[in-house]
Amino acid sequence: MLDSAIFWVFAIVGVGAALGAVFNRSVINAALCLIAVFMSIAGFYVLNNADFLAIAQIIIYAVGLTIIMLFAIMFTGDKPMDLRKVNRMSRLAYGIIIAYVLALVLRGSASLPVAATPGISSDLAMRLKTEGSTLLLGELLFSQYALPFELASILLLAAMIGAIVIAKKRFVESESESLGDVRLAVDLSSAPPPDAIEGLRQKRMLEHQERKDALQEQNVTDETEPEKAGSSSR
Amino acid sequence: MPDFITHVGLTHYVVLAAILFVIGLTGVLTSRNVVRVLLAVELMLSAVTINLVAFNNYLHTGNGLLGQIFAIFVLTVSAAEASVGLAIVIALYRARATADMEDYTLLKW
Repeated sequence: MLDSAIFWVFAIVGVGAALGAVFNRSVINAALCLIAVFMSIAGFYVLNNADFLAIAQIIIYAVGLTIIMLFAIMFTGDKPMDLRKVNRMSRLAYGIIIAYVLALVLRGSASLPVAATPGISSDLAMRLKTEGSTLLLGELLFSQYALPFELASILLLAAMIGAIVIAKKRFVESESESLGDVRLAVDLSSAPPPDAIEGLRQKRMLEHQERKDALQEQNVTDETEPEKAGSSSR
Repeated sequence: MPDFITHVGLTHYVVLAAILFVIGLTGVLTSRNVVRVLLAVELMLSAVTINLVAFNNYLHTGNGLLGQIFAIFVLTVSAAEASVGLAIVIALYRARATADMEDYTLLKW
């Protein structure tokens, strides 16, 4: 009974925060909403006798990952999104895909065995309740699942080295190298003259500025329209 | 109160994970910011992990924690994926000075 109440609290918070993470206009706020989602998922882990995973979830996802995401957001700029740019056809296609996936899962879950009570043996459940899952998981990870555990460490090492190599600044950093696409567009063997690059960069900045202006104009018209409607009705 | 509210079982967790997964999928499909796409992918991954843990708790008979072990590996892989993904985002931003998906047209023809 208490478990059910806790489940519903976490479910409502989790789904609400997930909606916020996806539909919030500001990316920073979306990342902050994601913390709430990960926290409530950690709550579900605790309800399912997985306390070690719950703590790992909080440390890795809710804290570590979200901070890295915030770093990336601050590197790339927090531009508010505009859903209106998604055209109607692709929106319809997305709707169909999403509805299909949801229907598929719901139909599959209807044929699940109705397991209202946990299926793990009462002996194990008692051990999990009293001493937690950390000891059991540790024993398993270092005996039966030792090989995948070691492989996971190699994967993490490879990912770390890969991330550093991909994201690091080149030592011979020059104007032409930071505009890799320009070089590709012209010719790889002969770098374009510097003034051509400068011209392209200015053009791109102009385009960016124009787009920003257009967006602002759109917002301004959006805000003034209801006002006009209100004044005319009066 | 109805039975399905007072007795939370395996089906509840599966449906909840499905809802979270679909919300994440919506984010991946509709957002234009790269970081937001990565964020939604993480949401999808952890929604799936709920399933692993819930199935382990409700259906695994005997003395096993296989689902939780698997969930730990999913956690590891998703951490690796996020780090490489964000490194790619940084490199892309350095090359094109934008985080908008629509502007990454280098491999488009």
